[in-house]
Amino acid sequence: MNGTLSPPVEWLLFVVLSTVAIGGTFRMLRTMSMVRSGFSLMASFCAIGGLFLLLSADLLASMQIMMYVAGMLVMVLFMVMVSPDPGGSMMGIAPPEETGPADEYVCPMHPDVRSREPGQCPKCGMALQPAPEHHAHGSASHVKDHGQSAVQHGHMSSGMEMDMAMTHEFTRIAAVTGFIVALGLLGAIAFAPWPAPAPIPALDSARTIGTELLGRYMIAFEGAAVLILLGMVGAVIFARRA
Amino acid sequence: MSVPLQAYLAVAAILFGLGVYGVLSQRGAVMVLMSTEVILNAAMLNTVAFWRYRNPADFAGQIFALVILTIAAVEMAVGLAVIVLVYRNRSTQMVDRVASLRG
Repeated sequence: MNGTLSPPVEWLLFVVLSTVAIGGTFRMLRTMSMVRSGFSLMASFCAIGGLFLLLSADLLASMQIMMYVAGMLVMVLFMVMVSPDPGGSMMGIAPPEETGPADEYVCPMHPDVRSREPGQCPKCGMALQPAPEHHAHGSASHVKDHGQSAVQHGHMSSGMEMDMAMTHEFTRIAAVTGFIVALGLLGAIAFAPWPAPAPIPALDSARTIGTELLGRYMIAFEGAAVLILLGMVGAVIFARRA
Repeated sequence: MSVPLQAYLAVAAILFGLGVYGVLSQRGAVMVLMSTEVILNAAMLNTVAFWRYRNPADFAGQIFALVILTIAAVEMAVGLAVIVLVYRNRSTQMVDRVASLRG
């Protein structure tokens, strides 16, 4: 496939696919709706399959798309099963207008301790502080602005008891860690010498992979088979009712 | 092949960073699982890009990516089984509520 693409088309496809891949993952982490995050990640993984196609790995691309469409549907199903608010609708509701910013007080150490009036935390005795104000749309930028208040985000101003926040209080540390990791990798990529692309041999990649899997890489093939069997048996043992 | 190898590696690096952020920041166990899938996908993209640019005549790179895909599937199955088990015992899927392993 790759040999027929002109450079501008290849660049265009690359930019579009990588934007979808990164944007889908970003949206998966940012949206309040777990179902939406599942489908965003599905789009992201399909775009990575498209990048595999650009890299002439056509068999791998089709396997990637098939596996992750099914896999993400299963993930969405499980999220609907086990999450208290899979649609994120409760977090998207704007607080009532009469609810002022300091209408509610929260313990700085125990975010689930909330009170209508100032006082002391029953768990640790610390003075309750005014809860940070909730913006109209329970948006991702809120979590970003108040990394520490991410836990409280799931609670509505009405003092709902359900604990629905999607991220915990270490969000800022996590963001910094992820940023440093990505930056380090990008720096390594920028400063390392890389080879010029090798010409692609005219090979039927599916046929070649099949031959190699049953020849030189038989161990990998059988190992994968045993691994899948172990995974299935383990999953059934874990999930069965005692 | 007008797109250089570095471009693919950069996309994979950004995806890896996002995955690390997701694993560390998300509370829902399913979200943590999905973030690990992002990390595995970044590794797979790297592997395929290196295969294409370094030695496309040898399909070991693609076969390694296939093994990563297998591991991702198995990880998803076992992880979801653990989530079902935890949810049945604790009625929660938030990882910070499951700090101890005692049932």
